[in-house]
Amino acid sequence: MANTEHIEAKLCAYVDNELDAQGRAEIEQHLASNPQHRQLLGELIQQRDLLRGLPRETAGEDIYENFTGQLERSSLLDSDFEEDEVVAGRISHWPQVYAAAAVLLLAVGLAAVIYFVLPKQPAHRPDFAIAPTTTGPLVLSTEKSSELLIDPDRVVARAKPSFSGSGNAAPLVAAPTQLNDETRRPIQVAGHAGALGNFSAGQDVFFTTTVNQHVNRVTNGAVNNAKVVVLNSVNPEAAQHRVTQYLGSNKYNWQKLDEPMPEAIGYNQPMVMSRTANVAMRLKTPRGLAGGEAATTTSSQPAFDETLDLTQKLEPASQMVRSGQLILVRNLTPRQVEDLNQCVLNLQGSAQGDVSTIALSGSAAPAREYRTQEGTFARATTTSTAPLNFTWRDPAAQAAAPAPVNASIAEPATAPATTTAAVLHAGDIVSFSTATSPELAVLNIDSAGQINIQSLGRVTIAGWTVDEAQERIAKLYQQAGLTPGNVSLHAVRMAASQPAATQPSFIVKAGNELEVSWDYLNPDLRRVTSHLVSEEGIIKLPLLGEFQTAGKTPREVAQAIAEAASRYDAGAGTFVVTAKDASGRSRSGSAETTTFPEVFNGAATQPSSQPDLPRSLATTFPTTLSIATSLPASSEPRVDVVIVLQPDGDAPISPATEPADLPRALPATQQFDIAASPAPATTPATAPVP
Amino acid sequence: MSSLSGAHFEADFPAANGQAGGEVSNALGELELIRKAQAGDRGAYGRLVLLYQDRLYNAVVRMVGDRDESRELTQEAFTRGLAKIDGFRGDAAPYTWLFRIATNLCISRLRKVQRHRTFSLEGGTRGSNDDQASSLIDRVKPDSGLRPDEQMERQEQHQQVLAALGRLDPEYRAVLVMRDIEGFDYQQMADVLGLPLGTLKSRLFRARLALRDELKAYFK
Repeated sequence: MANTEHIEAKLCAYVDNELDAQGRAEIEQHLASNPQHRQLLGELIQQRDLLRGLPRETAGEDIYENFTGQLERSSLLDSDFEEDEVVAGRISHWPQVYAAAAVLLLAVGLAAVIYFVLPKQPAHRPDFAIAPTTTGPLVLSTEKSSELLIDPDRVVARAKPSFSGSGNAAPLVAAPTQLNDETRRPIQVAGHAGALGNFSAGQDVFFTTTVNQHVNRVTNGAVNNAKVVVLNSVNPEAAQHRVTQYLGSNKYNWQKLDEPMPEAIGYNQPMVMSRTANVAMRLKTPRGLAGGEAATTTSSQPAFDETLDLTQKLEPASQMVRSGQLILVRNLTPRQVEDLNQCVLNLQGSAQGDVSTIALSGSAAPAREYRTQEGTFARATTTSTAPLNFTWRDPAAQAAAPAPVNASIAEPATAPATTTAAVLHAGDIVSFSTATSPELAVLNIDSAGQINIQSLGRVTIAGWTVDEAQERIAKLYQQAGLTPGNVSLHAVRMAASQPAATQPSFIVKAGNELEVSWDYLNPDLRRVTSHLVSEEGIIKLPLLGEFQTAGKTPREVAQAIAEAASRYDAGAGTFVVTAKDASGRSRSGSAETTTFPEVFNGAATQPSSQPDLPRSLATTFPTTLSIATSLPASSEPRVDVVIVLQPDGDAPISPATEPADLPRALPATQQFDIAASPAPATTPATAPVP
Repeated sequence: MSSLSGAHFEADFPAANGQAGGEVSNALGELELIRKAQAGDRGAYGRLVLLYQDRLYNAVVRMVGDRDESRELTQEAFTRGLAKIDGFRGDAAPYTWLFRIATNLCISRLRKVQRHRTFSLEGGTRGSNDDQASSLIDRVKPDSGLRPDEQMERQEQHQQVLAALGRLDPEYRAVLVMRDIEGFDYQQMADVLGLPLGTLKSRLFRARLALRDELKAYFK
């Protein structure tokens, strides 16, 4: 090392011509036999000269002037310049540090005042606060108002439980210290104080008779002593995935329940609260319903000849859980229940943002009736030919994303809807909004190829693609001197517009990649998924299962999917299946779901008009959940993951004791082994299907 | 210790500032000024500033690359010099003493910038140094007295050298600037950097090799 340094020092001196004669001779002798080294040193000398030849920069007068100015200022201020290292013209960081320290001090002071001085439970504070106990599950205490407040501080204060006998529970999420301000927000359970009964402080609301009776009743006796945990998640699939992963890896018995359909509603019966609470429905006249008239009405002639906006009459509160977002966890020891509570709370508080709020409850609900003056209304329903004539009013969604309806369709961010490039035809349905008027209007293209836009009048858009039509409308606004901001047009249904007959039919085969566009009217449900057709000709869709596709046209595939999807009460929707043919051209086919005509009038629709409705445990769970989580739709994200915890002591549902009318999708209790089990069916829809 | 007089530089380079050059033209004059400054004569220190500003700024701008930043650093070096003037013992020439302050500031700033840029997602060290190099290139003024084509060629040459310099580590830049741009002798450099002479020469040689690597294209 020292030798290397010595040699380098010598070579350096040679380049700088600082060597004495002897040293110089030594080097040159070496270089005579090493032309490469000679070249190298030659280059270094040349480079030295290049550096020396660089032009010189001058500073101008700035530095001197600034410096003397600073001196003068310091003289005037009579400050000791020697101690003042603050440079004029530079931003000193000390004031920032002082400011930050002051803010910190203030915050600490405020926190101390709030914590120590203010009363712990002000009179206006929410009625329920979780008061974790050391021995039992989370407990709600009640006050008089109607809010449920999860007090994360108190939860955090508990040590994370570890339980024996069930293996080492891996943490569901990171440390609970990640609870953030978001979690401190009180959860509204407006109107349910009465429903839950009068509980004394410290009483476990989940094990009250009222709750148990209700849950027991709605599960046909399958679940006793249940706790219902509702995760209010902006990404329910991710949240559920995490929960089920946790359950699986810790050997909890759990099972996933498919989303139930609502119970059939008879005339004058209370309506099950559901997603439709946010739908402005249009009244269907009794005459329009008679004799299957709706089914025969052409798309250009709406069956709805009278409209009534029911938005204000419906509670903008609860929302039904999504398909497959129910988890039933069974045979838990109290300790495990406690642990799960903690983990769920941790999940809520995690920085990953999967879960924003949480509500725990379950109770009987006060009956809610929604009747029109005629005693008749249609609930988000359609037949395959009747137009979908209702308007979404989802303030939360619109506030989050004012204009781009298209953007919501692309969720999850996988691929854009495939229909935007297609040409619009009469009979198609489009949605329309502008930045200044973000309320989404769903419009029919009439037989003249026109839609009726309130501020513009009738505009012809048939024959244009969606993008072209959007541009055209924007131009018309301009010509009219209006400035609506961004114009957003999207095709809701274009099934009629594809001139499939002009194309030779395309047959799906193994190896094709199919893109399935779930064009539900409910924007929450829209998505685009991609699937590779397996060697056996099968694709597997989230929730809907496997489909044999080989040998079928895209339209036939879409029909099969739509038929399967019709089992779910997800509202009206169109499935568009797109494949690329050999020339790379997109070939698509579509089919609509056939939602049951849940229409009732004075003559009361018979439940038999509904296809194969499961009516049991799952059937009324939405009711339970909607009661548990009557969150204001305008400010809260959806409630989508529900965990039902059933403590030990209840016999698990076995096929033998299972009520005959349990939903088919309800599997037998299983011991979930994460190593041996497939991934939960609710993994993100974009996950590749083997 | 070798002579640390400022006259050494005056011999190698033109007077840094025409205004001040005649007034204070030797190290003794500079020493006198700094003694006065130590006695509280801020005007004397101001004259030192006037005397050194262009030269110090030129060295700083070759190390840092950015003109505004260099101006700021030069001014800060002068300010710190005044703040620490009692610590000047006269072992080194006043300029060398100020230069050490400026070099420390530059290396510190360059390291900060490098660290900061390392954390950014885009670009590597090379890219960040290219930024500095390009800002240096902008400032190369055409030499007068040359034909336009020669001027172009010279300018291009300077651009390449400055770009290569800008891509080196701060420590390498500093020794090259000190030796080849400032004309310091080895002892002065060792004093400024606080290194033994052998280590200093070794580092200088490595800096030259590094610069040569960056100038490969030029030599080809």
